[in-house]
Amino acid sequence: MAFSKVKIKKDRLELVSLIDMIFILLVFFLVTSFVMRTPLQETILYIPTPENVLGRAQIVIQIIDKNRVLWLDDSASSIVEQIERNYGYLSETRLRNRIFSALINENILSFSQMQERLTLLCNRADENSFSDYFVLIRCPNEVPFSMVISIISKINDTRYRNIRYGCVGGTLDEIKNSRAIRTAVERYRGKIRKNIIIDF
Amino acid sequence: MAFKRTDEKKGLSLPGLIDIIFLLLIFSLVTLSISQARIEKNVAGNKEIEFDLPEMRSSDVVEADNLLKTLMFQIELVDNSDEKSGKVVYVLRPLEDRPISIRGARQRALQDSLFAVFPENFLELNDKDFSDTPPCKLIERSIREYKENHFFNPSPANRIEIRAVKSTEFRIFNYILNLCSSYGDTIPQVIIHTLGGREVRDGIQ
Amino acid sequence: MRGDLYTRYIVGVIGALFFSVITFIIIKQIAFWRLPFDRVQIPSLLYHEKIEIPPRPGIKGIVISGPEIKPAVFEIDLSQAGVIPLDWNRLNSVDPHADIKVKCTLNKQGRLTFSRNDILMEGHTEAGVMIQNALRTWIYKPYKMGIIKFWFNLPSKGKKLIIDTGGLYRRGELPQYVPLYDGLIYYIEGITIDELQIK
Repeated sequence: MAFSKVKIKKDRLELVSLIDMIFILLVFFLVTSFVMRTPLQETILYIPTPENVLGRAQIVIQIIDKNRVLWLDDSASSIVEQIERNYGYLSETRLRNRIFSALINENILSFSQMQERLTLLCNRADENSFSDYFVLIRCPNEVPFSMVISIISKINDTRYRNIRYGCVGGTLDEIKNSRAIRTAVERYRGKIRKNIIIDF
Repeated sequence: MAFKRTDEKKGLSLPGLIDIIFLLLIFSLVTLSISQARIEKNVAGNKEIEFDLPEMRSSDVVEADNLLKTLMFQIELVDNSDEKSGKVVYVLRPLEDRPISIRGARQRALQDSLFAVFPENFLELNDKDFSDTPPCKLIERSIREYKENHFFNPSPANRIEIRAVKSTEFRIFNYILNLCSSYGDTIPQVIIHTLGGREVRDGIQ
Repeated sequence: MRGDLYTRYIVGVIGALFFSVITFIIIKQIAFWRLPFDRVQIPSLLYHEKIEIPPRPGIKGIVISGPEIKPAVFEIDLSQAGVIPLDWNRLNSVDPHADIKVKCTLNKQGRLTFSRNDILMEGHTEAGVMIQNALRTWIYKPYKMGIIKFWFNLPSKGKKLIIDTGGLYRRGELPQYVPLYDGLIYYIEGITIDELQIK
């Protein structure tokens, strides 16, 4: 009798199909977890109205034109203090002009530079839920108000919503022609700070 | 000798078929969801005028209601096709007895002549002359009347809405802000209508 | 045979899908748990009404917050190299009857300087040298200058060390608005608070 050899066909792992499935799942998760922009909807934004009191802010953004802003924060205090120390003998007007020139030289930013600083500010605010910031935006009349909205849009996007904002009309010339730009030590909310005061 | 020839039948390749089905499924899901959203926007938008509101990209936004709830100033271009054309302000008032949409209120404002065009040179005017222009007087009168009839005590619920095209100069916006602030804490904030959207970042935040 | 293979393939696919979906759900849930509380809340219909009035900008003038002024502490700067403590127990064992007065001048560099005439240590030379060697190494933070006196009165039943800081004065370089406090103005190991008086 002749016995034919029985070939036992071994089950092979369908590698090609398995790789296909992995790629499909990968594509699926990539698509679902990508940044999805839903179509823009009409939304609302609350803006506080100004009041006739001394305004306090951690950051003042004076819009100069569509491309430039003047950014004043706590680092400006050391600039003003140094000028007061070195040129304290000058008259009030001349001292103010000198301070203003120094601030202009150091703190004028382009729009993109301002965006970067706002990002850093938002990151700092996100690190500490107890920190509290107020950003004052001063805008000249001829600039479109959408520029103010774009700034607010950036600072509104924080985890703890601890950056407040306000906007008022104002020009760089008003700061330049203010009565005085000076530093003053103040105790406010239990902390002593060397603040900059701009008297209009 | 007898040789048996075995022909392997070529059957349907099921794994390949499953791959194709999955690919088609994913493709159709993705395109369907995007197109569905676009359709919904066009249907539920209820806006005949393509309103060029300023953009507000934020991960946390509050949706605007289509119904008018408080006094609203709508500032548009005189000619929508020309960005350099002047600005016109419409005074939209809510009705006491029934709800009204923004579009409906605009129609009423047209009928009641509650609108005014800003002069072309309004940016060059001094503050006094600017506040004497017809649109500013209309705004001032509207806020005063609305405040007398609706805002009796200081409250965060007292607010005025502004719906303006994004090229609106800050002077107009600032004028409304200052008018509201002249009433002290009675009108502590205004609402600006913007174009925003929820951003989903990375799926894991 | 072929049927078995296909069945196993389909089971494998379903298993992979199931595993992927479970993993996805777990990742999303972990992300959800990590969200801050206010992002988890679902805003109610009355969301608008609950908004509090944010702070309003003032137009009368602007106060831009400057850096916080931290108070200055007048003390021995232990971060400086070479500052060594006076070993109180060793001093007591060397000369338990030591009665030594040292009048030091605190100079601009924050170091204690004294001449031979500024030290009264008759009969207690060894203890006096020990004290001098320690005092010379002390470096103070540059907020005060002037005269500081040490009276080591070891046989006393009350205060064994009296430090007189009445001759110290605030340095002009430190702005007046910076609050100044006294910290550790002696570096002596082994002394207890009952044995010490600072005036």
